[in-house]
Amino acid sequence: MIGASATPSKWGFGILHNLIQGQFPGPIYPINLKEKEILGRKAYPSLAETPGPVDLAVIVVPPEKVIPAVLDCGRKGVAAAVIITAGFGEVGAEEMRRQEELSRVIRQTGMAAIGPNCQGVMSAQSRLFAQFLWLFPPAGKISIVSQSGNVGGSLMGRGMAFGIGFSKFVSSGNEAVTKCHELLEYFGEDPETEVVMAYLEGVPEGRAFFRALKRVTPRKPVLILKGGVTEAGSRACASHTGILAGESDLFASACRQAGAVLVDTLDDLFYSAVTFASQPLPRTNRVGIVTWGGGWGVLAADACVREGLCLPALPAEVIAELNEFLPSRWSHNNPVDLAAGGGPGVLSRTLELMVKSPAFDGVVQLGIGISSFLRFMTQSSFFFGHADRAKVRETLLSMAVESDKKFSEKVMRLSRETGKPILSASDTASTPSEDNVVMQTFRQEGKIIYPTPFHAARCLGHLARYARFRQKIKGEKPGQG
Amino acid sequence: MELLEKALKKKQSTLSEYDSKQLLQSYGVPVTREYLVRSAKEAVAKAAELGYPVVLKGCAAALAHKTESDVVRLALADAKAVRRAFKEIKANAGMKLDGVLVQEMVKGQRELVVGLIRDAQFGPCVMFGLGGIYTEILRDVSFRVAPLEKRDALEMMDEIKGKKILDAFRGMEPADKETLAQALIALGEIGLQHPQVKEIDVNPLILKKSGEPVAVDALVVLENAKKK
Repeated sequence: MIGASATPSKWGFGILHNLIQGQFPGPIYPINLKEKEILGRKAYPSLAETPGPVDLAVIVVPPEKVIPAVLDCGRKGVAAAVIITAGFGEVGAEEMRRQEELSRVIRQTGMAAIGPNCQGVMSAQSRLFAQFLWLFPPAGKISIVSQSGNVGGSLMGRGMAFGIGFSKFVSSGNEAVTKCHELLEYFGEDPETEVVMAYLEGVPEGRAFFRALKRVTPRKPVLILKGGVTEAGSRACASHTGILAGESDLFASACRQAGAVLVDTLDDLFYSAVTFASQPLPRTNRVGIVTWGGGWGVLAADACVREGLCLPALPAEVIAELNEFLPSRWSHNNPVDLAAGGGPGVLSRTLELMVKSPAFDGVVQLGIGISSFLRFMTQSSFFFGHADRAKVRETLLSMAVESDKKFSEKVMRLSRETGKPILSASDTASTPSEDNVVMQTFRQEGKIIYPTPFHAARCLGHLARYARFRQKIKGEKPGQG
Repeated sequence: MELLEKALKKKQSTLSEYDSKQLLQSYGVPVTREYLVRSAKEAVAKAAELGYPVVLKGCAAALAHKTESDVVRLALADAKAVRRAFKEIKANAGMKLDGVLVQEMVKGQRELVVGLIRDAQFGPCVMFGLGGIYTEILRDVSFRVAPLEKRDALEMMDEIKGKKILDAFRGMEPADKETLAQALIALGEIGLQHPQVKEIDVNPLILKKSGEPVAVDALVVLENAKKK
């Protein structure tokens, strides 16, 4: 940790703190000229004086001292460096020359290097949290490359809030040496990464980026959120083709062509990454919707259609079977609307019929879990507040918890047995998680409850489009494979 | 490619329609049957060979806007019309022509555009969309980075809003997507193999009643390093 500091407001303190807090299993050497000890770790006046080999140097010294620090790393035989320090190409022409000099020096040492001007790197499986943000998401299958440190932070923060794990995060900064497309390729090879997400603002080496994407997407989904409006019409053109190219989003076209999943917002990025990491790919885009109440079903149907998903009519045998146990007012159509009829047993049987029907390759299930919502709704009720009835409330709640648990487990089991994605959306996603048994059950499988029908439909749309891409590159027709 | 080298040597910034189509045809893009002639007599002979009606167009590298210069004559039905058209074109051109193009008159109500650009970020990219006057009015186009696979070509046809133009419609056969895909792939290849080619417009690319596509007009823009 070159530039470690004992002053809590400094980056050199925060990163050292996080390395320790994250329980990195190897030795950590703070480098600081004046201090003898920082945060209980023996400090060294120079890198040369540290004992033993060093795998990774985190550099947080002022900009003019970065190149000497890199040279020190070269002499010590350090394998890789993360250069946090800002004040390079992002500032101006003179600083850009400093960055070019830095790139040259790094290449001479043969080190791998991230940055400069970045937030840090994280590897949850290795318990390496060499980053400024005090975030420690659990270990998982999703990796992030981000050209913005704080966007990466938002994603990891959400992961912590929802119990979703990450494998690695790289804040790529100015990309003086290691470019975002090289990081994408690395995540493509990394056995701990199953889903790659990227926040990008600029990709100067467009063709290399395009080729890297094409190599990764056949194996792993790559989700891209592009920040910054595309520069339009800046090139001088003599043809209509040129003028129209200036107006259109070539970046988006290239991403789609290479099989990447394009998302619109941070929300979209997070939910779709969780979905890819936890749900099987559907064979086709045929979707069944099961809803507890009408409005959510209608909204889900609209959102599915907008996503290019198909809502086939209910097969006659499904209608016949549902007629056996549903109250007669049920919708008799897809979406299957129970119209608030029947108990959790009825919902469970309906879902099973829909998921197992060959007419559907994915199911959107709306209105899972009542217990946490019931607790929320009845917490200030004067009726249940009465001493005699508080116990009744507790009994009701524990029954609800029991049935929620059973139903959540059923959803997990049905998806496992059929290999079909089941995406559940419910208000329970918005209620506190401590005693939320549905959320807990979902978490155990890395799954999430979607806060609205829109989120579920959007994510299922991404799954179906990516599944189709995988089929196409194998030359399969829809529904094969 | 000899054609390109010659044009670059002459510091041309574009290829003439005839040369543009020669280049496209050598990559398998279907183009109109046409001849470059230098006399009215020759024009009449070639018109008879092609079969009436025919089209006559003034042809020169510097002639980028043929309609505006009034050097295009459509639907010429006989030798007399061809002779008159030849004379008018020569008079209107106001510049030295390579010659006059005698071209088959392609019939088809469905006009498409295909093209190539060299993007600063992604290099050669291929365009597909609605052609003719609709190119500028509706701007309904899609792009792919070269090289294109057949799948990419088919997807870009499916991506435009007006994609129904490619289906069977009022007695017209569906578009020959196979040939269209080959044309799009070919444009990408030209872009990859010839860095001197900066942009290409093929507009219109007409779909005949049979669904067969034919490049009716084409413009190749050259990257002429010396001219800046």
